Amino acid sequence: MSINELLSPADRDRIAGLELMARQVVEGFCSGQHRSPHKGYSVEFKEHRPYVRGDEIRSIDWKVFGKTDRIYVREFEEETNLKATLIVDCSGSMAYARTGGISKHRYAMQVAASLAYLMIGQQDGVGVATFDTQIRDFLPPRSRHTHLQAICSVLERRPPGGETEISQVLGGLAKKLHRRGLLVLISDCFADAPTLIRALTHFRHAKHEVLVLQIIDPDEIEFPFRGRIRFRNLELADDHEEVDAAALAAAYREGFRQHQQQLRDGCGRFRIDHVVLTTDTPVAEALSGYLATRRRMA
Amino acid sequence: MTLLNGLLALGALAFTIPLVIHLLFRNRFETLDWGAMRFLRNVVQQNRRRMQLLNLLLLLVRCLIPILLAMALARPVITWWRQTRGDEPVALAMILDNSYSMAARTGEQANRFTAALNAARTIAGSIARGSEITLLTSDGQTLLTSPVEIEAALQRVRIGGGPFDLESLLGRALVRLSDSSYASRQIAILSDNAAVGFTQAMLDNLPGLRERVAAVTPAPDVAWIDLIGDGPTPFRNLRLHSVEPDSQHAVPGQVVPWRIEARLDGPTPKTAEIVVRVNGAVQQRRTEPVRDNAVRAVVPVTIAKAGRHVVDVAIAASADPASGDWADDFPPDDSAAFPVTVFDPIEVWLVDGHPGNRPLASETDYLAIALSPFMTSPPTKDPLSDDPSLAGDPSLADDETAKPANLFRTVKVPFGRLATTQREGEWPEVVVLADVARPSAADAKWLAEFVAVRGGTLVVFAGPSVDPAWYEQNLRGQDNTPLLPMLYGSVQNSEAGLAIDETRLTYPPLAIFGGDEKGALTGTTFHGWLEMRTRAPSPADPSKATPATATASPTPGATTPPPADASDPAASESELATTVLRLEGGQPLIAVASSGTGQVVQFASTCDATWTTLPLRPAFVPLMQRLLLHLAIRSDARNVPAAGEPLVMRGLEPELTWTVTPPDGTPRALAAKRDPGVSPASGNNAAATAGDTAAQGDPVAVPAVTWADTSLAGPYRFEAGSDEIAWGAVRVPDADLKPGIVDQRTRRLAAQRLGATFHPSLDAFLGDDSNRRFGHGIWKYLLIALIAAMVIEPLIQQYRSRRG
Repeated sequence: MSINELLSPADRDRIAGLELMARQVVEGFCSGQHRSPHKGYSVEFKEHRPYVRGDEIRSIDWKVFGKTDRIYVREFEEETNLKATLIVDCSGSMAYARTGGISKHRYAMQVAASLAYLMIGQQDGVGVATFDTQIRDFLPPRSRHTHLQAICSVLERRPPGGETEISQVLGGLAKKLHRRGLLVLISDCFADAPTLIRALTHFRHAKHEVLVLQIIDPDEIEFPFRGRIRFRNLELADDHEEVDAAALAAAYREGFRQHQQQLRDGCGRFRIDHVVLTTDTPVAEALSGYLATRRRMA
Repeated sequence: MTLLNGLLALGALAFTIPLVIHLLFRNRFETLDWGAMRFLRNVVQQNRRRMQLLNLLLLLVRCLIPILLAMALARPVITWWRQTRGDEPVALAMILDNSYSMAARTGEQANRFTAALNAARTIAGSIARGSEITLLTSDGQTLLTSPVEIEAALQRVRIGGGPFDLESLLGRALVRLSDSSYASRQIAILSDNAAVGFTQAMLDNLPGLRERVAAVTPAPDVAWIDLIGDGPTPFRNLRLHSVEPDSQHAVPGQVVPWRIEARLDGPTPKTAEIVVRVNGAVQQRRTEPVRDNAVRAVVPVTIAKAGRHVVDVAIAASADPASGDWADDFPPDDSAAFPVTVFDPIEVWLVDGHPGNRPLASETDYLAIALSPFMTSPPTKDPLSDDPSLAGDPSLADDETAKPANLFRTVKVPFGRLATTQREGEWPEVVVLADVARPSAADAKWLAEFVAVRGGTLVVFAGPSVDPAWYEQNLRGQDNTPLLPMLYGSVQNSEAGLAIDETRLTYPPLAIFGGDEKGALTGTTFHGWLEMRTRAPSPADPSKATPATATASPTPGATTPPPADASDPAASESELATTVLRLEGGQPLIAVASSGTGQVVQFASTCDATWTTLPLRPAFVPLMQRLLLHLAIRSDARNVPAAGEPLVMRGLEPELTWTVTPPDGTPRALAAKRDPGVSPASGNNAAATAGDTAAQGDPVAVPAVTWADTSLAGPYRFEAGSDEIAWGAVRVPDADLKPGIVDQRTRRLAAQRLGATFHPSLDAFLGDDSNRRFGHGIWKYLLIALIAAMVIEPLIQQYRSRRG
């Protein structure tokens, strides 16, 4: 799947319009982080380009000169101070979509693709990891434009299904991320809130910036159902509950509210950004709203 | 339990609708794939049990609603396994209290009687049209009616009659119900439960009444209906407290002050009006101020004509702006009627056995002085008045003070000149023989006619000259029976002197000496007297039976002398005579007997101081005046029976055709019958007795007319032609002048002892009666439950939604 399939041209344009704001936000993420002493250098070779007057002599790739008798300089990845990893929930609960609406998984993919597009456009490194009970796919952060396609492919090939073990997944992911960066969790966060918060704080302790983009369907907030309904678990086959929806609505909403409150409080305590995105809000608008808020805070 | 609309109960099957809906839809679900199962499961786990209970409760309420609706429409009644009589006719005896205490006002209705009438109407309207109703009133009426005709019967009932006698009324009710052909029988008691009737004896008798009720088959239900509740007894009450004439007997034209005192209870008006009527015509009208909750006045009354009259005294709050709007809560005690006898001076002929020229030398001098108008002491004192406290009050106006009354006119008639002294057609009332040795034959003959035919009174005083044998042989009545009540015997003497036996003073003129003037005769001594022996009657001679024994009717005051025992000096009576006063040894001193239409008084001693000190005693004056007034007038002026008691008019000739006008103004004829077996208490037209009725304690029977229908208090006019008019009076029973009601606890106790059901109100009775007839309807409770269920169902739903 290409980015064009995930994001319409209009969406893409809109996302592109957020570039400046994103840059500012990213810089904000990076503020206070230690800068590499190797200015202009990075451990990552990016490409060769012809020598022009003024380039540093030490950047001349003498091996290429020996082979080609032409003077080329080596260009490395710029030290943007940001390597973002998008952690996308692909558990069964993400498959929920209200009637006539978009599924949370689709929405998550759009959000992930938008973020990847935005960051890669700013030459920031973006990686992706999909998970359910464990990490299913992992792409380390790259800033090449071609990486965006890879990200979209990974997102597309992992349909939602299965149960969720966010805490376990985050623990496993920590081993894969060696460099400090930005962690963006794109999930419905339907897990035990304290456990999730604890897992996220590990990354905070490792100096990562953590952003939780909680994707929720409005039905999951409002619980507008009436009558006798058999709720089938999207994460577990043969698991269902037959209830009188109206009778449970108030209790459900209260339980959900408490869960959300725990998440907010937990994230706030550890300076983890927690953004709730509902699937009835266009992605660009949702991201725009978040970025604007974030910029103000910076 | 029965159902009045049983078919509608089938609607209860509609409860299956919500049940079927529940069963049908319990396995019907809309399926939804859901991601947030963790939140849903938490809720379900926490609320599963509660939701199940709520759902079950909701289902039950929904099933219950159609059941309750159907049952409420089916009108179930609980009959407690007994048969209900429904709308079948009933024999109902309504005991209606119409005594005077029922005239007390109540807060809501005009008075208690009105409340009772309305209750009777309501009860009659609540029973089947074919029912029998017997109205039994406390004044003795028994009215048979029906629910349709009840109003006509109630129109005939008015306040009056004697006190409420539950035992008597219940007895009459049971007699009526025993004769009824209806199986359902009921007794309803409608009374104000006046406290005066609730004596301990009455309460103790109630269990016995209960047994009488239970003995009737089938036993009637007795309902004691409380009409008054615990309302206050009348507290605004203007009542006559005392009415005392200075003299109850008067001569024509004599001014007699009447002392009237009224008292007030509760808020008082400023003034009160006193109206005094004589024979129905207003003679005096006064407005007097109210002071210290009392009104006092002295009103002079003058009656111009001799005869039996009635003075009616009434008091009312004045209708003037100063009094404001004052209403008397208890009218019956505002007025009272008093009989008054006005008589021409009594002509007394004194025949002196030893006339003399010197003062007090004659036998009759003392008597003549005693009968003179100046021998009333104090001047305002009526010799027949029982109130010794009456005295001349110098503060009274001239017309308020009674003048000495010329009650007697004494004429000294020489011995042997009785017939010649008499003028044509004019006879004296009393003839006194004082120590006359042997009355002449002419005198004896004249005396026989005087006593037996003319109804005169002969008073014979003994003395040393009296020839007992001559009297026995020659002084005889027209039927040749001895005129003297007793046989004179020999002269008896006592040096020390015998005193009067002051016990057993029941003879009316002498009763005062055993009461207020007790001791007045003490100190009187008799040194000489003639023995007086009873005379044994001849068994073959019916004329020797006294009229008193021929009177079988139980008129009040009638005394039947026991059989004579001539050998027993202690025997006080023969069939001819009664000893009304004795000496302390038991010897007769005064004997009285009737002869024909007259009467004879026989003294054992002298009229002067020869044998006794009696003429020298102050008591001699009232003794002789009272005695002669009693014998001459022969009316019991104090006879004021209570309503419900027969009115006995002594002295009226029963041979005449009398018309009686009660206080309501409706004249009714009284048929005179010579039937001694008729009880004056039966029927409305009282029979005259066989000519004679004796007043209580009076052995001498006199003619009398008895009127039994005295349910109304007030003046009664007796008329036989234009010349014969006499007035009598009936009073409100003393018990009914106390309208206070007994407390409800005592009423309940009385009802319980009687075995009656106590109903605190008419509505309570009607409700209980309806339950008894139709069973206890419970549809109201079902309706309430239905409404509650219809309110609870949405509440449960809302609660379930809110707390789910």
